Amino acid sequence: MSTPSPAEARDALARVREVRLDTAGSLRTPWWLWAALGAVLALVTAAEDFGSAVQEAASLGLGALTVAWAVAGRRSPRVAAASGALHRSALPGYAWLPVLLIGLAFGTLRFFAEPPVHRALTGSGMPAWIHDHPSTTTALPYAVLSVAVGLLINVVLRRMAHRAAAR
Amino acid sequence: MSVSGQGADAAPDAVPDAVGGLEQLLLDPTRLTIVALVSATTWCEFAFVRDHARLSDSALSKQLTTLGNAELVEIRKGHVGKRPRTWVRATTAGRERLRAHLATLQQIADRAEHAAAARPDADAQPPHTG
Repeated sequence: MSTPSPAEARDALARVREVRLDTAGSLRTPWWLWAALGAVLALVTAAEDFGSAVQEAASLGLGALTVAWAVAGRRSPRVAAASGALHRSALPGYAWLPVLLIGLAFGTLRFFAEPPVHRALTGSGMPAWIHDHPSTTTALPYAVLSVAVGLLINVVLRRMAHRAAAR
Repeated sequence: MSVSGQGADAAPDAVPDAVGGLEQLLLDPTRLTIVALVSATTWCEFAFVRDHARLSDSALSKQLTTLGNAELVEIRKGHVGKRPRTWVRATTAGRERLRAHLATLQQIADRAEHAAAARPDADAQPPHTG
């Protein structure tokens, strides 16, 4: 067996480090996925202002989108690559954890903040449109906050992956 | 779902170097790249390895067969819907052998660095021993 020279050893170590960092970098969830998630959350929340039928349709649409995304990830290599599904990282549940935590953050925020916000928006002194559409008014900040939580979790998970790769 | 690449016919040149922990197979940059890549994941799809290692399907297939025979990686073939898929992962022994290989490479690099530091006025090139 030939023993590598110090230069060859350094090259090989650099190559391994680069490959691992590249793999960790491919955990990236595209920004537009988070934006789309925010838009869908906002639409589902806003649907409350337009009756239960619209709300049910929006919830069904959200469910269908989730299923379509999962199926598309398995069928299309491009979608799979975008969602990081072509490999499963050494970090368990890197893709689902942010989605789960976003859902929890969104639910918790709505549970505690919605009643007082709703009362304030439907109280006297508010413009007529806001008075009639309190859920639509609150939808955007809820969605932005939830997506911000998701992005933050994503950044933390990527840093963890990079740290593991650099070892 | 069929499983392959776990045969007992390990390549004779895959036996680790008893002295340094170096793996002959991993001295090849392409094979080192593949094993480093799959060891950073739990399972990864053939296409992911192919794209990141910048290899053709046939070249990767050949390398994976070699690495599979040496029990550095495990290859699993299956289907998603009607489409065939191949998944690869590093075996536990493969991860350990990669770790030992990298530790030895690090030792080689460190030793040269220390030798150079001990002789700051010496030429950076190693002395000719022939």
